[in-house]
Amino acid sequence: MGLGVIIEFEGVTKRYGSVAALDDATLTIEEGSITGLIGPNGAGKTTSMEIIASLIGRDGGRVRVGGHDPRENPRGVRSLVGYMPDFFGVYENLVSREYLDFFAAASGVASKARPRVVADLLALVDLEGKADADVNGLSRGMKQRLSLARALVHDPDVLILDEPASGLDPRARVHLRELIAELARMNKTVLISSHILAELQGICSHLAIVDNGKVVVEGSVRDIRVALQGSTLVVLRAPHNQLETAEGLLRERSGAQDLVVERDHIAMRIPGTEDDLASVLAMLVGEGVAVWEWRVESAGLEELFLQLTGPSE
Amino acid sequence: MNMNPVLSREIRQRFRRGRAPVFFTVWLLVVGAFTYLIYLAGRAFAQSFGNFGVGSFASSAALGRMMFELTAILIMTAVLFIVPGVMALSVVSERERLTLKLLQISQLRPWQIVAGKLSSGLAYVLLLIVAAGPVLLLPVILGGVGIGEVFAALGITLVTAITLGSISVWMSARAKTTRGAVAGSYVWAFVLAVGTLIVLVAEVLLIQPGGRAGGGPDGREFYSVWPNPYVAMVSAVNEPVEAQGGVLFGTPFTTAGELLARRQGEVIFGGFDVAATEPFGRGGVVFEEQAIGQGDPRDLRRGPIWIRTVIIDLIIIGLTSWFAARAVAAPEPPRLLRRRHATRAGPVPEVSDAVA
Repeated sequence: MGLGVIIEFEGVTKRYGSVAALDDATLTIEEGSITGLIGPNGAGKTTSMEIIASLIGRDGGRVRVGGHDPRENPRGVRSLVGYMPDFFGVYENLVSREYLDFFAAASGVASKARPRVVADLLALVDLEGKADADVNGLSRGMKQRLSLARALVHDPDVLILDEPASGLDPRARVHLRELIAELARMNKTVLISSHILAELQGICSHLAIVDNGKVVVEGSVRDIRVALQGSTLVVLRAPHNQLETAEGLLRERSGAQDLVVERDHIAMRIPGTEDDLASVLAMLVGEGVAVWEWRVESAGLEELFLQLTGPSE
Repeated sequence: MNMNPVLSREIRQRFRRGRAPVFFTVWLLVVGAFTYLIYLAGRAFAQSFGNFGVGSFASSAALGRMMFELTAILIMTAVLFIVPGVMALSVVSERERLTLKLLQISQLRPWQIVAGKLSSGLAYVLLLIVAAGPVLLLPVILGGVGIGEVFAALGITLVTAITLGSISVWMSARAKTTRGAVAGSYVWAFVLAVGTLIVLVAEVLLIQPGGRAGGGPDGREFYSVWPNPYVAMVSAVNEPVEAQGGVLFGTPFTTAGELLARRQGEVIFGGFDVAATEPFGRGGVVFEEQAIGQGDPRDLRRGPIWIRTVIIDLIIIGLTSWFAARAVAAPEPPRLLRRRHATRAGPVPEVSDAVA
């Protein structure tokens, strides 16, 4: 994680006639991260993704993907990027295996390697049993998984997933989240957009909130929370006879604020980053406090999003 | 060498559908039935006149010639109708199915996408033409037609198919809707096949030099028909014009044959020389030569039109393929022509990154 910056998106503007889809948008994506692109419809998420994926040009700004400019070297970018749009393009009279084989061929995968690649991808997205099924006959969830497999045919380092959970039932959403988690374990960099914020909660290491063509805020989920709230709400559970000691340590050595001591726990706000939270916990343990539970009460993404973008008009 | 993936997929899809075999069967039945009807009509016509004079039309050679020319025209006409219908959907259907972006994001270059689309559609049309080839060869058995003429007619038909195909793919690549692509493609087919003939009529009737509207064989060039596929086909079959061959008076190619003779400084006399029909051979036409230049008037003063047609077609194929590749390129290439002024709706997007 965090091996370096793989996508640089600086001061990018894109206009459609008099409408600015992107207005001086800046975004940096670290290698190996899972970045959630959050924003209302029309905020500029898809435009940003399509510019990064080299599908559309920009009117201004600087974009680099793995060092390549998508406008000057689109093929270089495409060798690094797998793109899954927010729709599933259907070809008639093709079965799943042929569908993937076609896109593997179009992505330059050697003909000898293709059967193996296709079989592996079908296994990865759990569609082995549908290898010879007509793609038109697949359920929406299966089509999304097949689309994800298509984006992976050339083993890209970066995956761009535009609203992948859109229209999926709860079971399919869970399946998709597991797949994305699996991709993260494979050290893929994932840029994923959604306006269903709960979908991104728990799987994203980083967030970028887009509104009116601008990236309002970006960074790790934790840092964004801290930046917005200044501190993190933490609940400490410990033996009753140690709560007083813990309270004293917290007041003297952690900078904890708003401490509320209850019968079996202490609720407090701790300023700083994730590292600061870890230090406080280590300090308590080091001082002999038997910490039963150390629960970080995070604000939800929806709460953060509304805080940043304000109520809808 | 790997096959173009687009070509490979499209052929697989196209021939997997049940429609393809049905269409081929209907096509061969129509072409075969048409040729057979000409044969029956020719025989009936001859029998009504007896076996002399005009009735000598019944000779198998004349009948063969008539069958060949009409069938060649049928195939050319079918190509003019079928190619836009088949090819105009090629790219726009990808756009409507939302698969074009998936192709654009692949490692395929824009010209590979266009080449795949063009070749897959042409493979289908080529099969139609080749399948009709044996029917077109039947008149050779009757005489009056050489095998070379059959291949010349098929060759020009194929070149026309490629030209119309590339125009249709271009129309398809730039169109937003299926309807627009189909309409644009048929307009171009109409312009090539009919529009050029309309211009020719105006050229011949209205702008003859020296006020000789519809005048004689002055050897002038008819530029308007250079791109015309029918004239090219007659040219490929008939030119160079020879006194005892080349055009058969009374057959469908005669009209264009007369045009070809005129541009060489010759004129068809306008009669049917019975004597020339024994043996009938390829002849039956009488030229009254009105030489306007020096030397043997039967020598070609101008190169055959079909060569000009093929050159024009190659230019069209090159240009339209290039434009089509630009239309499917992503990200979109810079406009060839930039508007000078911002519109009222908003400013022209600045390309500040060019200097970044």
